[in-house]
Amino acid sequence: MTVPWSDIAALILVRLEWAILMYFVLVNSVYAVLLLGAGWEMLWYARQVPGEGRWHLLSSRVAPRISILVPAYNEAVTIGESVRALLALCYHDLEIVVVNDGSQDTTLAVLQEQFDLVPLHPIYQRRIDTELMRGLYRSHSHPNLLIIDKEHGGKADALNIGLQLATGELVCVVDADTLIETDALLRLVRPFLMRRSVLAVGGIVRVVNGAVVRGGQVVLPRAPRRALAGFQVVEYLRGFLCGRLGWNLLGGNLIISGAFGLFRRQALIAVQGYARDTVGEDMELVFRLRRRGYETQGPHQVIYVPDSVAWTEAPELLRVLSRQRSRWHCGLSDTLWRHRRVLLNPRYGAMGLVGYPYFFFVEFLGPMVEAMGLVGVVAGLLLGALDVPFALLFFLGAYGYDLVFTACILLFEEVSLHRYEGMRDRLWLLLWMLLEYFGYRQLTVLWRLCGFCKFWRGRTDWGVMKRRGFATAASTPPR
Amino acid sequence: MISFTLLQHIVLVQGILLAVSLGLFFAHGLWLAWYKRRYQLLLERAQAIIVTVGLGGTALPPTEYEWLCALPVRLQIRLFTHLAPSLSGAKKQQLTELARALGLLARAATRCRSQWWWRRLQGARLFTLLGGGEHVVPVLFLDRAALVRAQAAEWAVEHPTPAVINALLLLLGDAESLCRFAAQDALFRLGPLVAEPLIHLLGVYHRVGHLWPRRMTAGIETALEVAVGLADARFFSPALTLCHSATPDVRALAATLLGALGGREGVEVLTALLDDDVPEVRTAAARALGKLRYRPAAAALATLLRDRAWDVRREVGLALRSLGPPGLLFLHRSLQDADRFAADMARHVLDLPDMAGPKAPV
Repeated sequence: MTVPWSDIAALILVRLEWAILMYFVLVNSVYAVLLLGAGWEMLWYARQVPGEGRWHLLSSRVAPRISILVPAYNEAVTIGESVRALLALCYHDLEIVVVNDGSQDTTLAVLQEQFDLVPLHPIYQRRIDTELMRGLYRSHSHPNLLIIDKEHGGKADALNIGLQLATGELVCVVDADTLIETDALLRLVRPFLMRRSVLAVGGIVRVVNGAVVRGGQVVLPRAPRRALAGFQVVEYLRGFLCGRLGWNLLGGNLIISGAFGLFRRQALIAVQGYARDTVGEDMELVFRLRRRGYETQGPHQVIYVPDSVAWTEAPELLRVLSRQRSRWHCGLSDTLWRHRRVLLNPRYGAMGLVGYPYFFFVEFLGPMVEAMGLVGVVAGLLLGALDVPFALLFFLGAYGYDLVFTACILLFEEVSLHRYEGMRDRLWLLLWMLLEYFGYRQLTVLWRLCGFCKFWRGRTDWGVMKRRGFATAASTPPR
Repeated sequence: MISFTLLQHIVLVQGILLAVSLGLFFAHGLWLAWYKRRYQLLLERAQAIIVTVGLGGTALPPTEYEWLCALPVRLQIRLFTHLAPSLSGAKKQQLTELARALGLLARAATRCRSQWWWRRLQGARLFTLLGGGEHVVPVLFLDRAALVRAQAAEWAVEHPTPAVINALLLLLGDAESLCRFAAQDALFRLGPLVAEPLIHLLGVYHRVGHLWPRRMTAGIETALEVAVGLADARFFSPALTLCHSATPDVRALAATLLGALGGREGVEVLTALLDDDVPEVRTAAARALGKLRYRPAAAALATLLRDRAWDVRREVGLALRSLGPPGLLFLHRSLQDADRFAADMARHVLDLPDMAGPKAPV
């Protein structure tokens, strides 16, 4: 007796759907735990902060020196404004180190013209291999501004040379096009003062698209009116307010955004700085830092601060966004592969037993499972192996869970941080939250799969990020 | 398989949760808008009353006073904590009296005695901003919560009694780095007032420090950092004795302190420390001698250009440079040194541009 092939296929599909269902339940349970963790952290934070004499730090002789590292490659158009915005940050012992990474445009000339640079002869111990330094300058008008001119070697290389020439106990890594809120450093430095065990602290990165920007500062945050940027706002809120804040409590934070993070400089130098041969250098660095912390029984905590904010421009072109997401997933895959020994290794504490497994099973495998699920549903419907009303209801359930989850994050944002003030902005956020699931989520799955393929083929190019610039991204203020 | 009914129930629950959370999301927005409209005007009026009448030296008219009393406590606190950091001297004193009259200080005292740490923290913060609390806050130096202890240290800056200063010195050895930071910061702000108690502490450490636990030794290092910052001549004697401490970090800090104070005896001890086993101590001694421009140490410093530790060589090079002609002479001689590390560092230092002003080397 022979069993028809359609029956076999249907059986496989049903089994597959079962496995995916189990995965779905597991992942959502993890998200629920993270949400609770983030809520707890937020509550704790809200009790510590009110009435805090943060400005007291500004006149303190004991507060640690912070060096801000700004890698710049072909940033002639924006570098002057970016540096001026950084010089205006509220922190008393601040050094700005701009690394001109062999720009082919007039980046160095612009800096020279606007900041009156004086050449220096450095004495520094070369502890990390980098491309050749062509020159070192200090601004005559702003003595805390240091400019390094070097051969092109990529972002990681630029940061590595900056690390060695910076003099701060802490280094803050920012992208040249990131806008940092004036008091962000005062908030970011807090965990370092509280605990010696803290290695790195990350702030929240928000999407600037749609906001009103003046003088390098966001004066009126607004929800974007364009769909692609709007979806990213919801995504960023979910990622930072739940994902990373939730991990504070569970000790599994493994990413500090390359756009805004504060590190102990000596710890960075001890792990030889950023890796040059990966596209996910920010995540890879945190992995190495934490691994070394566990191996040497030294500091290994990575903390997120919910109210220290940096604003970044989100891509508004599908092509650019796809490249960015693909690169992120390629970087994630690469980092997980490099540090595979951490997986479920009790030697690495929460990192090995909770953080790494999450990133592997949820972040890395997620797109594959989701893609399989989508293909399975389509095949099941075609083969008649799926009950259509049931499948629709199941889809509604999955969508509903995501919506509840995102709505909780929006509520979090509203109650604790409250950045978007207008009712219209709230409605826009609601709209992007509702529409995100139709098309955008599926596209991100596809891009992430492309990222994995890139990693598989060993490609580690960055691609080009075309930006609109803050002036154009910013809308006119409401009347 | 999951039953259809169960799935229906799940979707229903999700729908309710979604409606509740979105309802709260929008309701909170509306409430905030209402709150701002309702209280912004009240706050502005209250601020105007306090600034023009309350701080003008005259007593508040009863009607105004009653109106202020009728404001919600949360608003009163917001108002006073907003005004307090901008005031000092007599005006601050008047604000404190007004806060006392309105019962805010009594509330702060109650909060300081609360069983919940965040309420104690709020109480201590109110006293820090508004003044007062001499009978309540000192107890908080021994609080269970590090944040509260640190806040008490911040409060201490405006209340420097001998007992408070001693409590601050004890906090220098606290297990929590936040408390050590807050205590160190407060001591710096107090300045010369803390010199005598600090000398006493350093003296005690020198006599019985070897019996202290490691945590307390760390406290001494923090205390030495304060001493370095204050650079009071009275620290000379403890600095001399602590240069012979068994703890390398203490020796290094004592050397730095001597560098800030100078004195014949001091430079002799510093020259001896150039032969210390620990690179950090040699570095500190070289830096101190350079800072004091002690030319007779040039030969001893030049020998250290061959040190294996890069930091020592760098500090020695810079120290020789700061000694002027004798130091430069040794640096030029070192260019022909058989030890390539010494020659290399000498070259680096001699190539440095003028160190004045913003052209200082990295």
